[in-house]
Amino acid sequence: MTDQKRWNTGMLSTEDWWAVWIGLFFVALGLVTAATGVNLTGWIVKFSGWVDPAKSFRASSKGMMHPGVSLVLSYVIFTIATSFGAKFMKWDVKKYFLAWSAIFWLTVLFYIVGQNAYIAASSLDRGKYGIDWSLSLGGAYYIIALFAGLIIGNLTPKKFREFIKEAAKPEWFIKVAIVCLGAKLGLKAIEATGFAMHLLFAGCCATIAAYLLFWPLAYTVCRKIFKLSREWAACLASAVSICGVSAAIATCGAIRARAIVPIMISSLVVVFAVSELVILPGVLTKYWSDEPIVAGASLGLTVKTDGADAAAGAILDELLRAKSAEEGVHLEEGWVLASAIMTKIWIDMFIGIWAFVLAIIWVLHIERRNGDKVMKSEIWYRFPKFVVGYFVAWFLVMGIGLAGLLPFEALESGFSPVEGSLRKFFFMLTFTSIGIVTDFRELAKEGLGKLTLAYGTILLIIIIPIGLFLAWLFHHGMMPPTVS
Amino acid sequence: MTVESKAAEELRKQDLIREYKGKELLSPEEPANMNVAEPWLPIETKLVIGSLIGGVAALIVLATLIHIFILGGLQ
Repeated sequence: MTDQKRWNTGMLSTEDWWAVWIGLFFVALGLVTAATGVNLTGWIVKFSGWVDPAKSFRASSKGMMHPGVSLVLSYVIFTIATSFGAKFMKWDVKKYFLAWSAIFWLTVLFYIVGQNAYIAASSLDRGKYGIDWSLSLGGAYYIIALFAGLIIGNLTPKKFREFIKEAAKPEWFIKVAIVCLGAKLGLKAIEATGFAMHLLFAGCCATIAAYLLFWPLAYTVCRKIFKLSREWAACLASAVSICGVSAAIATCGAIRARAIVPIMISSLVVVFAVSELVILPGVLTKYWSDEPIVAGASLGLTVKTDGADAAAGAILDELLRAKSAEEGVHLEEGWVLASAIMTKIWIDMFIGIWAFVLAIIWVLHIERRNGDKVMKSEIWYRFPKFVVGYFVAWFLVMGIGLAGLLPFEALESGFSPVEGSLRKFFFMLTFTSIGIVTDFRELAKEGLGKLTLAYGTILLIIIIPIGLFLAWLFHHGMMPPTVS
Repeated sequence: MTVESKAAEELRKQDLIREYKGKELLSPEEPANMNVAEPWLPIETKLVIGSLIGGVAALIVLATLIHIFILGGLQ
């Protein structure tokens, strides 16, 4: 841990920072629109429920341009923005561009199919579309994208899989979406500042308790029951109890585990996270719909990748709002998702601190490497930078609104396409990409059987029960604002 | 393992190696036997017990504060 890095290391070369730059770029466009009235965000394509395919998408600002032009313009601008990032991150831009284009247009297709009124419309919306039946599968487009991605990632020819994986970057796409979500929370917080702050503090407190309970229990189970060596036990405990892939890598870096350790554990994390993403929203909707914020927060504590957590939160948000609407309560969109992301973001922020603690213990007590120093700056290097973008967007929009610098209507019209249409499209890209990168064949690798059993056992007997309890303890009674 | 999947695997390893840059990284192919019998050290007990005590203490204190200042106000 003695390598010298500057505070700004990676600002132009990591996915994390590029999520911040891209997200804040679009937030800035929203701000200029709100401040000047020049519409710089209305072109973003918006997908909506349809019976007539011609009405399945349009520009976010109704009538601003032909729907087809909005779609192509969105493709061009998103392509430029992400390819710019790809170039700075020294990816093969040509390969990225081709694979990105495939993922973009496939995602458009999945989005359109999933928004069909016969699939997605709730019983209350059928009249709007002039239909007399529907499956009422709100959020089905997310699941369609996920399963289509899984088919691509597992059943298509190997050459095609390798080609398309060049641009399947779920963590990057979701981080861009989360930065834009900060603007949404800012808008919502203008009208419900107290509730947003309660969510922030409750999420932080739940996370601190979860961190300190999850890790030692998981580590002890790995060592005592599954008889894993220290390096495997520490990395697996971090992966299953903290934040999946990034925590496993941070911990392995901190204790200098062999590189094969996080490689094998990462594949487990992704497969389990996808399983949770499919199962948990439905289960929580069935059994915990009277506590929507608790249900959302529990996802943040139990689903171990940012992408899968935000994706599960988005599905849960849709399912819970649809269920509440049928009971006559119209919950505001986005609060359940915000609660899922809030706890996850706190967990992400503590990764650096935990890696620092483990590094000290390993250096001084376990491996006794005299002369080694653990730099405090490691905490910053491990800090998830997209969180900076999320909070900047949140407090910027909220601050401008609360200070009365711009009227709420102007802010709403400027930011809505960014925090709505663009964010949801990046969520869709995340779903497609999660499916593509999830390779179930990884589980057949030698040695993974024992790890899989350990991971699954800890998840089921420690992480999920304690996560549900902590989410309830710190959030029960918190109800999202309703709309009339 | 085919050439393509070997190449993909190699890329993933390179990503991780970048993550470890500057550190004395053992070869990714270095066998990392997960079943090595390693004795449970006193520092592991301290780490686990300390963390659990901290977790329970944090849970009690923070839950109390949240109930007094936030959730209490929602009833």
